[in-house]
Amino acid sequence: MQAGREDPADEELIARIRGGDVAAADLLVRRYLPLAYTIALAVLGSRMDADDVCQDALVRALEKIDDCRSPSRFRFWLAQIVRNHARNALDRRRVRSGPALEDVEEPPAPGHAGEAAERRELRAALLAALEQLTPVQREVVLLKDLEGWDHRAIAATIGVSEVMSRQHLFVARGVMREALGPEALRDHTEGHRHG
Amino acid sequence: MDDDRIDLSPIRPDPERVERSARAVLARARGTLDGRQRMRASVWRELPAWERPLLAAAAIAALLSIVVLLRVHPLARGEHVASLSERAGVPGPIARWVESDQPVDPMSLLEW
Repeated sequence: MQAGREDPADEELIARIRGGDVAAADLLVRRYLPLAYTIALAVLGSRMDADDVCQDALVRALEKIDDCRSPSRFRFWLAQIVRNHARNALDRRRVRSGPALEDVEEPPAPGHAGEAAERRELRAALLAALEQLTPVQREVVLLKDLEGWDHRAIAATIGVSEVMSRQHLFVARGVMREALGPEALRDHTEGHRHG
Repeated sequence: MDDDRIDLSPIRPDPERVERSARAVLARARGTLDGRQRMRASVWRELPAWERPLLAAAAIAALLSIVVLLRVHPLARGEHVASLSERAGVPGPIARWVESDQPVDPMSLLEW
């Protein structure tokens, strides 16, 4: 697919970043921040830590952009950087002194308080369900169901076979369904269908 | 379409959080990006500085080429063309013997 002027391809953005283009860096960061966050969350299981690691990894990626030999595969290169940062953070087991991110949510926009509360409740349920999974299962289910990656890409990124990736996904979905319960899952599935 | 998929989209960071994080990342990477800009700018600044020496070197090379061409192209001036053996500094009699393709007289070898 040819990227438009407003939506330049990764290769173009990376070439511009190598020349110090701040606007290109801004676009690339916004494009991949959700993915970086998802991977960090999968490895760490904590939103606050995921936020820190995701930022650290993106800064590192911008600093080391010359090392990205295949700009068209930037997402996979970034995924590895995020995973490494997340694992290091996990090893260090840093103790946070600030409040958990769940406690510092942005105030909802006026008139959307109910909707925001519902979303927050749903998010908390999903995070609790994700906590029941192993880090590998979390990575597989998040990359598949949230990022829409195929098993081939997931397997290559996390270093397992495609068969194992499918297996992890099957188990992870089962555990999450069980953790979410039929009621939450029903609401959630309906929300998904309507959303 | 995967019907078993669980909708995990509520986990995605809110747009405000993405905005905040993106700003934080760019602020931290600003030094690196500025450095890259400066490096690129300095390369472009250096080029004009090299323009005069490069032109002078090119002029000298062109002049030398003309001189060399005139020296090795004497045909244009109707001069005798030196043979390979002459250019290599081989004595005249030996050169003539080599070019004649005839067996050499041992006596003449002693004379040389």
